[in-house]
Amino acid sequence: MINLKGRLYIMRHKKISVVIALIATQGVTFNVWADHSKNSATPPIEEVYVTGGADAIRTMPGSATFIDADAIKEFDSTDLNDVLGQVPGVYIRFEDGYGLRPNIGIRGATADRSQKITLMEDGILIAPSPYAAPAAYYIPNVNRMDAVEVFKGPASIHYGPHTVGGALNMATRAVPSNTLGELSATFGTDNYQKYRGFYGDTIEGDNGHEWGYWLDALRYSADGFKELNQQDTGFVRNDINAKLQWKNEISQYPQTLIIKLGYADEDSDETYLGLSDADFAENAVQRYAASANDAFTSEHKQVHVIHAIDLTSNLTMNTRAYNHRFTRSWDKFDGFWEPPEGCGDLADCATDIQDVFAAAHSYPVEMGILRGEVNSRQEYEKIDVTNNAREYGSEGLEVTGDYNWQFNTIENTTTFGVRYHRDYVERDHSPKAYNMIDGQLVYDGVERENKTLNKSEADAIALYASHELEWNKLKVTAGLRVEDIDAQVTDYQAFAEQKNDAIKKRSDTVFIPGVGVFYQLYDSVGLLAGVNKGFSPAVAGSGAEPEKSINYEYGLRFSRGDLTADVIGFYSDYSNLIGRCRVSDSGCESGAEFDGGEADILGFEFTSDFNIALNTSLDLPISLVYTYTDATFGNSFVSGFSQWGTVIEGDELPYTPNHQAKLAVGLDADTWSLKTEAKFTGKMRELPDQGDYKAGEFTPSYTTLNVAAHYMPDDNWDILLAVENIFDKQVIVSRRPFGARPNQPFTVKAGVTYQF
Amino acid sequence: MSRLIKTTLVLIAVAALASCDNSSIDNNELVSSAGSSSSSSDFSLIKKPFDYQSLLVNYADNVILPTYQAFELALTQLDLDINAQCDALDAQNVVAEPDHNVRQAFAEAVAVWQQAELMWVGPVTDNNNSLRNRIYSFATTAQADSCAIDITTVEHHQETVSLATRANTVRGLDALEYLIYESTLNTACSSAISQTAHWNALSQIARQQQRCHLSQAVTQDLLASSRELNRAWSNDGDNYRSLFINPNNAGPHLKALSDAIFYLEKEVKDTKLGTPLAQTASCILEACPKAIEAPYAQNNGALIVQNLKTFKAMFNGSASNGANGIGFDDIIAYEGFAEVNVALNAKIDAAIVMAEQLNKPSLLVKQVSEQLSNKTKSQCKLDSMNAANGESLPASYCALHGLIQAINLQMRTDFVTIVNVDLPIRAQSDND
Repeated sequence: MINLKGRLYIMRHKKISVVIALIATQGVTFNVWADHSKNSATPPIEEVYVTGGADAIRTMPGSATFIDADAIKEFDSTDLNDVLGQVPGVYIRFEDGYGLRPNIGIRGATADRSQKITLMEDGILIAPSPYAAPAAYYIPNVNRMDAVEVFKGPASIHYGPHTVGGALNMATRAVPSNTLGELSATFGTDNYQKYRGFYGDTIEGDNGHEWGYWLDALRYSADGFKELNQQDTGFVRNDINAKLQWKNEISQYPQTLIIKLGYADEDSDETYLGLSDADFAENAVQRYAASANDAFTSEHKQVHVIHAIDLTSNLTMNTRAYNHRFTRSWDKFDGFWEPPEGCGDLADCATDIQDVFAAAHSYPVEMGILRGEVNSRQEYEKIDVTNNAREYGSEGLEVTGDYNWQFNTIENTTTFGVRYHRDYVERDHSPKAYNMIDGQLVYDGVERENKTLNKSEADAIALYASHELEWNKLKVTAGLRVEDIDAQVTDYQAFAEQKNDAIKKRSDTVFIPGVGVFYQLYDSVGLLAGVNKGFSPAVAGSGAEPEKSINYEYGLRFSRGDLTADVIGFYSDYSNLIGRCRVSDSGCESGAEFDGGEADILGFEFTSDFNIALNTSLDLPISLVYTYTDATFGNSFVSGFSQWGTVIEGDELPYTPNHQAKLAVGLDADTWSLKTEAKFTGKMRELPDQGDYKAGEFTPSYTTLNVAAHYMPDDNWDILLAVENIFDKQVIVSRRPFGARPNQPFTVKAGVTYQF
Repeated sequence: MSRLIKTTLVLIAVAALASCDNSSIDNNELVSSAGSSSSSSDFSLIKKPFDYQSLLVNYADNVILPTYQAFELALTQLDLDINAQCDALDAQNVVAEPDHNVRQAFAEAVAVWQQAELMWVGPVTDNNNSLRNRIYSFATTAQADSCAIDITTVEHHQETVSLATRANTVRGLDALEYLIYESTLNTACSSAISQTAHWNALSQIARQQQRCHLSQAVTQDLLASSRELNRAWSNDGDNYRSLFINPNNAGPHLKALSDAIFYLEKEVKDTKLGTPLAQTASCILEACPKAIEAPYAQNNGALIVQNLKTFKAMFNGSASNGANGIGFDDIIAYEGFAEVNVALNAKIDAAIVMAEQLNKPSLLVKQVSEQLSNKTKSQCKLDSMNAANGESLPASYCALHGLIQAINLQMRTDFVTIVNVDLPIRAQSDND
């Protein structure tokens, strides 16, 4: 039978006859694949991704997860967090409920603004400033992606600079070989609206020349599910992208050139300000009046140029050049105003907002001001709204090669690559103080000095070499990555005052080896094992050591018929964990870094898919993903990093649940499908600790239930009805940045997609 | 390009050296100096931080503010009783006996303030204890002066006086004590003082009426000071409380609380007992009766009992209703010295038991007078030392002095070391 999933697949691919792998990354070969469909009646070839696709990862000598377009379309997801729920070993810290700026961690690497993982779009580093300021305030929208790939273990060393946890690649659509158009609209609760238009085609010329393109426009918005004094708390995001492609597969040197242009903007009313636990219990979706002025705007522009050429039948060279510019402005509640003149001998006049929330009942005045119920009277009772304006730039050039050769019965692939990359962030954080008067924020009219005015920049050369050999049932990959990073931070305020430490520099050269083995023990059972070095660079101007670990993984893959099951154990032995201060952390300056010393992160990941054919036209797919994690600090220390504070050896790392799982059960028929999924997230500590969980210092475990139904009357139409969080289970999913915040509540959305 | 070549060469030769990473840092500091991690030299000693915020909240909400509020309540009752007394005097126009209700209300207000005396923290200490001295000027250079009060009594009779512009010599609880308890109606001023030259010639009822009227004004002034104090801490007022409980200010406020309870040493042991009993350098005679606190009410035992009980409450963080809260004892236990708490509490209890035995009207005045007459200063010192050394002695203020000294010795050593605070400046030398 061809069930709905298959029909969705065909619907997307029926006019795509040639697909070019666009997403090879540094050190990974980039291949041009033949147009099979032109010469045969076989189905359109499946796109080839970094992993080689869903089937290829079954024999990879390292763990990886491949999420295809159907999985993304299942719930018409715009939130990467939702999509990653099906990836074992990935931890999400929810923040705004819409995934505007996800917090993603892998195998214990901190989830904080996804700063410890390597984020890529089509294999190109896509975070605004992955070296100088890795906190990812921009991530491509998953809704327009064709696949999401997650790499862990030795596989992740291909994709630096962050190899401690893993890498995440988002693959855009390939250029269709013939005309393909798509229009879709989705509407949901809280005035959720999503519109998408896609159109692409390929024009065949003489002598094998082909020119292809697509245009993709995405706009989605919502009024927000939080309640704020009759104000919206939502967002509008626009994403316009274009891909232009030229290729010639029959020339002496078959080659492909792709140019991608992208523009994205966002206007959202997002805030860091959450709620006290008591107020959360009363109404989890309320927002305090003190956040009324909070607004985030951003613009992201990108140009990617990708070239692939087969120099010989064995040697393929790939070149990628990229340039990104990202600007953001975030007027954001930043606590109570701290008068520069101070309060006599006291260290602080204003109470740190984290301290207020930690004992909200003890701060009736401050809480009253936040709620708009009490007027500001003292200078230190004013609300600090700081515009954290930043400009990011990221650009680079990468050349990789892939040489295939054979020695007796051994298939060999030697891969090498070099990347030059530079990026920067310019920070201009300018505060304003507002009096809370009768529930309204009233600007006090006083010009204030900048809190931060600096530029952090880095340039890096990365080299990569690896060799893969395949001999009978054995596949071995060994590689080495070298990162040579020069970083600098310039404090413009100190510079103006001619201070000696206005400019700080650091240089790091690091070698990151990795080796992975896969052995097909039986037809249905494969064994894998791997070890690699984990690395995450310290940012410019930091005195902290880079984050380093030795990561081990080992497990087996089972596959028989419609049943697959993987069990992979992992152990990350950190010699140094880094904590990085963000604006939302108290007692430290944004960008400052802290050594956390040794840490042990171990656990196992279980993934299983099983499909039961109920009859010739109805399937029952079942999948289960479970992750067990035990993440502890390996030494005792006192840190100025407020997310750590005092750490005792054996304390568990924050925001890393011991247990998380997802069970999905579906029904797939010819013209309809139904999928139900239950997500469980275990308790998470919010501060390092061990033993009993202390009230106010952990997030509770919770389970949400989601259902999605599709109806496809023919190959052109797809009608969706999705209900998320059916039982409206809202709990505190995080008390960071400032106060308790909920997961998304009960949400319904309905959409229709038309392809032509 | 040179970097590329360098890195390439390194790559070729690197496999065996894979772990030999290199980092070099110029100006190897964090963007912010606050960013540096600190680590203990002995990791085994590191433990989760003490919850100083809860301690400060407990002291503010359960110890200090209830005391200030109780003081205002007591003054309100005192004001009512004094008004009633004055109304009665004005209406009946006959010489009255001491008003029991007024004395009772005054004693209650004083008792509460004697608790507040061990809470010299925050607004009450601003401008060199300005507000405290306005409420109670004992042991200052401008404590209540009977002649000044008499002069003010006369002036107030002639034209309403605003005490807000007057010196502390005519304000506060100690001035009110004179007005309420002074049995003789004659002026304390010499005949050379023109304002009071005709005072003694006034009828008794006229003098009682005028003193009562000034008592009303002093009580009103005290009420204003008390309200100012409560307003300074109040959430609805200046909200000093927020500054006090701010954990970032825990250091200075813990020190302030520590300084405050050293009242037991400096004010109770030295000033209230040591000087009258000639156990300090301030008294070079056999005894100094004039240095006695509350010379008119002569309820010294009651005052010292209040001081000692409050010391115990402050040490243990106990609320006014007796409920145990987070206090210094919890810091000491957290640091692993619970036995110090046991020892200190035992010493405090012993002192309270003896002070209660001595809580009899005019007993301190009597013992000081006897010491002066009998020249037993040395014996007093011996009794104090023996009591301090744990010898069981009959109850006497000299022995009580010694029991308090025993407390102080442990405060100066164990307490300041374990809690990690410095001695208050005023206690950095021992007056014994």
